[in-house]
Amino acid sequence: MNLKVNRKYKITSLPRDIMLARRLCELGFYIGNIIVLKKISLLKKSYLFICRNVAISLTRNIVEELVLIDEQ
Amino acid sequence: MNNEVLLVGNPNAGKTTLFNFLTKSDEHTGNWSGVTVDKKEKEIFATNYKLVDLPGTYSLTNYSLEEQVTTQSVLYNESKIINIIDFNNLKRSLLLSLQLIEAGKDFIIILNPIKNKKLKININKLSSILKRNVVLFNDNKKLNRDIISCLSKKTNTQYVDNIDYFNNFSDVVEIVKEKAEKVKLAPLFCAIKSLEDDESLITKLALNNDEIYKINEYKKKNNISISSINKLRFEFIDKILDECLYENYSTIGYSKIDNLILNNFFSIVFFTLISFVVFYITFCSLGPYLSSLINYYSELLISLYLKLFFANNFSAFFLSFIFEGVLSGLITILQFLPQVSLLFIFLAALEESGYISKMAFIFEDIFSLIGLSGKSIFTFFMSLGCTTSAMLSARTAVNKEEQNKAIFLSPYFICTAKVPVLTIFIAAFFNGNFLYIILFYIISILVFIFVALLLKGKRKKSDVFSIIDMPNYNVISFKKVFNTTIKNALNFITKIGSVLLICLVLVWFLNNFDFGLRYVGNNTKLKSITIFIGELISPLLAPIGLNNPAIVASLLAGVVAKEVILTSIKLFNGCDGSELVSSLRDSSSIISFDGASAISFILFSLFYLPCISSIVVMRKEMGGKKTLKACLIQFAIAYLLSFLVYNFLKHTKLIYLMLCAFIFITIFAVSSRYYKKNNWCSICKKCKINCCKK
Repeated sequence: MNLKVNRKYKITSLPRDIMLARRLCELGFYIGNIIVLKKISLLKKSYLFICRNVAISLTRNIVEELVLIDEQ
Repeated sequence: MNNEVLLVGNPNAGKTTLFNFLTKSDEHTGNWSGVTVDKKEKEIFATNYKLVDLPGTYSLTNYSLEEQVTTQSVLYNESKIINIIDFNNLKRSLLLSLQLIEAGKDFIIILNPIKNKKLKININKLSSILKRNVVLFNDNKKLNRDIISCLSKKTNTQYVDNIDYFNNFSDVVEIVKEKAEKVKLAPLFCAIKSLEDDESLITKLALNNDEIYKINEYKKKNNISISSINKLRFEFIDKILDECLYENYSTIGYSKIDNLILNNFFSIVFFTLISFVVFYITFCSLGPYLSSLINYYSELLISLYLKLFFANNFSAFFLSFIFEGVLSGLITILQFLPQVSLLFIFLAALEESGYISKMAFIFEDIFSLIGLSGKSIFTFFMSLGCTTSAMLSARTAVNKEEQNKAIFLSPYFICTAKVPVLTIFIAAFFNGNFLYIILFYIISILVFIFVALLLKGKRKKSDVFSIIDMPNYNVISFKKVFNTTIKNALNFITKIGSVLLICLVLVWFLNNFDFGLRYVGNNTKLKSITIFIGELISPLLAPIGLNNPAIVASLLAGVVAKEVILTSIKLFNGCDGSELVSSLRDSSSIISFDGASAISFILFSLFYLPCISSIVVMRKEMGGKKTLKACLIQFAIAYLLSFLVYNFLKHTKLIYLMLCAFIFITIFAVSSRYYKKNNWCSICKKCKINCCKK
């Protein structure tokens, strides 16, 4: 998956891990919501999303499970 | 009547600030999440209400260790609750408020504007929708009265009728109602948590297979998932905000400055620049100048007193006790007060500005290489000040494993207690060149990376994700930085006046008396207790060039507090502050070093063992066995490092170089293999053994 900074993405699925999915949903990462990728981290091993003033660092594996659709 | 009031809210919402305001206390606050990691209790000023400051949480789900403290306190207590809401993060904060309503809790909302003076929200409307009292947090003296008045009212803890999504779960409420009442939890809360597959709650409710089947059927039939439940919550929050806000609301958090601060290239440049300025001012320009002033005037004062005492013919024993045992040692440490205070000023300013949270981003990926999340930067940042408090801050870690790792690694940083030792040795052997101080800081970071890699073994980065709060950048409040620095400096002085004073008297006693309790003084026939113990242990330190009983005694004393190392050396050498530097090079002194042994001593004293207070915290947080393991590893690393460096500098022969390389490679390989074999699954390399098989 090749994500671009400052682009909007729509979430279409959640990670399989229930604990992780629940926490992501509570922070605004629920299916159908649109999130913005603000910065890909220094070594580009993980992604940093900012949602409701909380930055969430997600590894590539998790991001792939989220299935993000480019909205722009 | 239960007079306990729980203070809950999101991380960095201003709970401790409110706690300080209401209880007139002075607890540490900071512009980053995770400042509070455990409960703090105190009576609200001039009332009989006991306010409990709880760690921040985003929801009533246990995720990190400190969130468990909050969730357990909120759910299983009948106490009143104050829910503090950060106006800059209304959507996120109201999610917790909604969950408190779901849990049927009696609470009042305090709206914290956090420097946002244009608060365009209809408080009365918000209060009527949520059926809870809402009070605006300001510095007004009326605030205490308003809050007390709200707390004394009994609010309706029943579910709010106009929260429409609650009706979606009425069928499940009926299923879990009986079990929920048994564990004294709200049925609606239990119903929603069951639908969210919250395993801990399902276990607590002891739902039988039939009930679980019915809940699952209900989920399938109505297409309910974790995502849909939270979507309903956020849709309701959007509705609240539409009705209550006078103008469009936008979250802040990520500003244009971040484009520069978090830029892949500039982030590193900026971080390096800040570090350089901090070290230059603390160790090279202002810090040493202020220290020399303190040293000069204190020595002057001592010499005046000394004349006075001699004039009154006091005994040599008494003079030795007062001047060598107490005053001289205290002044040696006190002269470092300016440098330590400068370091505290910079740490407080960085914390206040909001930059520390952004550092967590910069280090997220770098730390992932050594098996940690960027959030650990808070712990390591605090380690530069005090290792003990840094270890406590590790409770913000996402899981126990990461918490233990952060605790394990924090003593490898150079805390302010080690600064005096480092500074004096750099002055003695490197002409006080501050670049060498930076070099030792870099060495400490390299050792930290080495140990972190050892702990990580062959494990791949797990799918653990980290959440970092994005505070807004603040204009640094000089008043706040000043107050924090004064508080920390006073702690430093108090430590000198209490622990160190007792320690110095003890060290003086051990240095001047033998086992028969005879005063040794200048009597060469008698052996002091420290020299006797030192002679027993010193052969062990011969391979690292420290086979001097007095050095061993100083290092042993340093376990109580690192500052004591220097005062012990001074006691042994019988010199004043200005002579200490030269006495370290003077071969006629009891404790003296050549270049190689000095470097070996610096390295060994930086890493050999954490101080007593840190060991106590380690034991509390990780258990005795892991603490012992951590101490042994730390001692082994300090010994090994000193051994390699000392022998390399002393002999500079190829055979030693090869020996050093061989020892390093062997240790790394054996440790990695140990962790791979004992701790981690051989199939996926990221779960504990047996998890994969399950």
